[in-house]
Amino acid sequence: MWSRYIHNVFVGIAALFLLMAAVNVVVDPLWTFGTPFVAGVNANKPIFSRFVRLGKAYIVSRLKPQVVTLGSSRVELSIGPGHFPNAGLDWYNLALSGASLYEMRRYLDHAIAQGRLQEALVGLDFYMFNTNLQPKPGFDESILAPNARAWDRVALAFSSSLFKISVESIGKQWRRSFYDPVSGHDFGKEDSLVGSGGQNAAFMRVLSRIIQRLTKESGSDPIQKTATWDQYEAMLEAAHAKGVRLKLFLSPVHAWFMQPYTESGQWDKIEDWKRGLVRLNEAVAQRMGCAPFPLWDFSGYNSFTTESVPGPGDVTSRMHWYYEASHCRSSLGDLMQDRMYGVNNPLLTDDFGLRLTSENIEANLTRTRADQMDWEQLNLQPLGEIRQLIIELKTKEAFSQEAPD
Amino acid sequence: MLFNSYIFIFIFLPVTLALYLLLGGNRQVQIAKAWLVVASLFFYGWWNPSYLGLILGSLLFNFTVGSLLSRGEDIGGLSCKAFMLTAVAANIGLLGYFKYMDFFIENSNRLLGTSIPLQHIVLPLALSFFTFQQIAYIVDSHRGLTREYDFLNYALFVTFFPQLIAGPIVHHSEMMPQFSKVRNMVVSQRNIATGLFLFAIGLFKKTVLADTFGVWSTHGFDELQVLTFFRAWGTSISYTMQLYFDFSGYVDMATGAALLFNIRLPMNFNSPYRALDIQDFWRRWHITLSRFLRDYIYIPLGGSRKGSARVMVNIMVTFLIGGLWHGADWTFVLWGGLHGAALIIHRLWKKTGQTLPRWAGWFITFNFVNVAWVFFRATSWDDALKVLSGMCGLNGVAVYRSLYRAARSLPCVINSGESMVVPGQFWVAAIGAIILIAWRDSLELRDSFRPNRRYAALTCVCAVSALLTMQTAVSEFLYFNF
Repeated sequence: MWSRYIHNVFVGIAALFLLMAAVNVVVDPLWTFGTPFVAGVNANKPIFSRFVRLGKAYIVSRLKPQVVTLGSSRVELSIGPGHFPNAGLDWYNLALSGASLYEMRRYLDHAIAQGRLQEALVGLDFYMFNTNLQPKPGFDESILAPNARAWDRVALAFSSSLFKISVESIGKQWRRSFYDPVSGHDFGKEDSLVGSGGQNAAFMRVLSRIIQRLTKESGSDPIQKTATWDQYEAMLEAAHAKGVRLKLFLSPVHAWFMQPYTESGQWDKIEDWKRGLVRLNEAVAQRMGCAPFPLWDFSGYNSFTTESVPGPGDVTSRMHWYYEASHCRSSLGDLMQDRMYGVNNPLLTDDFGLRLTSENIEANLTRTRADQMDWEQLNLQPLGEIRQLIIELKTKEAFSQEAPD
Repeated sequence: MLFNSYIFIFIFLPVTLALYLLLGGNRQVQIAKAWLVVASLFFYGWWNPSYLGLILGSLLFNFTVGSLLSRGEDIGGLSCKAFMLTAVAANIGLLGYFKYMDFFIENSNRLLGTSIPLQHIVLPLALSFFTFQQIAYIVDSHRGLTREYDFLNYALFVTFFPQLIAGPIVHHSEMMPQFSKVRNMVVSQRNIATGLFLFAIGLFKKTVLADTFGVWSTHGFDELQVLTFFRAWGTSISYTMQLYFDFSGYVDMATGAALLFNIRLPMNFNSPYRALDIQDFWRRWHITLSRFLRDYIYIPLGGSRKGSARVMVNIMVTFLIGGLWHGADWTFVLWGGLHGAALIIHRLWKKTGQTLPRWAGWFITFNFVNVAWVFFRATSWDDALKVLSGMCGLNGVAVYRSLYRAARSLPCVINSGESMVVPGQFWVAAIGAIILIAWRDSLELRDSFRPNRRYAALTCVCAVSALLTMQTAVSEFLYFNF
């Protein structure tokens, strides 16, 4: 009687743990176990977007891709599956929303450690070089090579935290998820990215954030030689050392996005940043006896980045290439890939994507500056909107600083 | 090593038990006991091996003193009583040095204007508990109440790991005979089944209930600057629950772990929050401490034999010492004083022959205990006053945004601006608390324990939910600080 009770207790405890692990593996809310998709059970991964740093680390260690893309949400949204010109290679979008350079370097190391990586497309953004930028919550060294261990996945199966996510995922199977864990691509939920106020409002929302950030961080210098540049340098060195081809690129942010930098007198910093990217890329290559990695600039003022924005109050018109000022659609990401891989596409214009080198950087910067002034002349109405927004935000900021506690 | 750690549950406890029962089953009695002492010292040294010398020195000293006292002869020119008092003073001196040195220095600096620097001495784990246990031993040796125990039994009595860190404060007369019985060294499936059940319940109390309440009480005591009415009551009641589930959870685990070794620890809790008066509360709360205070402080002071005025003084002195035992701070002394005063008032009330309805008795007792715990928990007078002023409504009565419209006509009601969100944890903690306080405490469950599927299911659910909760957070027991 007593021995049967003890037996039942141990069997019961083991059974409950196994049941929980089974739920975690079957539902596989972050696709960390690679469980086949079953409609109504686990086909949707509605929670994945909240745990991309965890999910992608495990997925990459399982899929062992030959090509990855790295970068921020701009890369998550713009570089989609189905267009990769290097057909036949396993590809994964390893970009992370709000990624810091340190995170990107660690995920590149992680991808290299899987043993099959040949190439990486690396989207570089100005914000990443901010000296104050910290890894986002969810970043975890222990799940990345060389710290990751084989039994981590077993421990994950028995994780109560994952069980909570599994249960939540089951309850939200009806909700279509736009973030695809299989490719790592965020297909972008139009309603969330644009919102109900139309694209003009979405552009202004993004600009508000940029203006506030520029106001608050006016004292910091994002291009000074600091640890962030060390991370960039370390990425270049690691890639050269391991024979991984990097394709570096600056994402095609919309012309509106750049205007606050002009208005706040920080255009010089952008230019110095580009110079630094070119200089370090070539210096590292020379030091390691290799050719520098191609560095493509899709920002600036070209046929795509100057796409006209619907007017205020227009909630129905949709832009062809952009969600909002910071994020382009994957249709433009496809063209970026075509340019970088030399694919002949009739939609590509000559002004889209300039390969930056030490020989042409100054000429490019001079031309971009001229293009910027031309854009101002031709876009007086949006320019007025942006300047008005800056005045409003500065007034609000000044008021809040003067207001008594 | 914490009871609520994987290394204890999956490695230390099974290995220690298996080897102990194996040796005991093969009649290697002394080796089995020695193994248990070594394992217990390893358990103790896991935190800080440097204090192993302290506990070993303490038990060697007290065993020698006890052995000398039990002969009933003068020792080194001292009478038996003087020798006993010297030994007791040495134990108190040790406790005073480690636990109260900074308290004395701080107060003498304040009173005498001296500027002696604080020593910042770290309190060795379990010092308060094993010092009390050994004081009882040497006092009883002097009284001739101890038998001829061998050193191994004595070492086991002091170091036996289930009760070493935070009690119960066991008495030599109830423990050492158990260690002497060879029959206690063979496998008892009944005890293993009951032990597993108690350990699982205790683990659930600690990890699921106490730590959940702990989040809320810490938020109120340590993070918020101002507490409104409901927030203050929520904070104090959360601590009241946290302390009970933390400590009684520890004791359940200790009792369960000891039962695996066929050792029965004394009862330490008996549904204290169901007490109908303050005397009843102290018969149910930390029973072994109450027993020690009664037998070794209250009764030697004269107990109730020297007139009613002296009784009151004795009660107050006993509780002030009891308060100070919990921690070197005046807030603990006040807490002890409040309980002493409540017991005196209760004694006077009983003399009037008046009685209260049961519900009123419970209501007054519970609320008194709850308010007194505020001083026990607060790290400063300001902290205590912050919570108490909130409980009195001095900072207004904030209600959720959705309730504000209905309640705004009432005086002092303010809008908290927060939307009403009741987390799932709240329901788990509230339901668990109601079951284990209002319905049946773990010891009642133990008494009605039967090896049936219902209890097996309860054990499994408690164990699994606790083990899962431990994945995200492992916290120390509150009584480790005392």
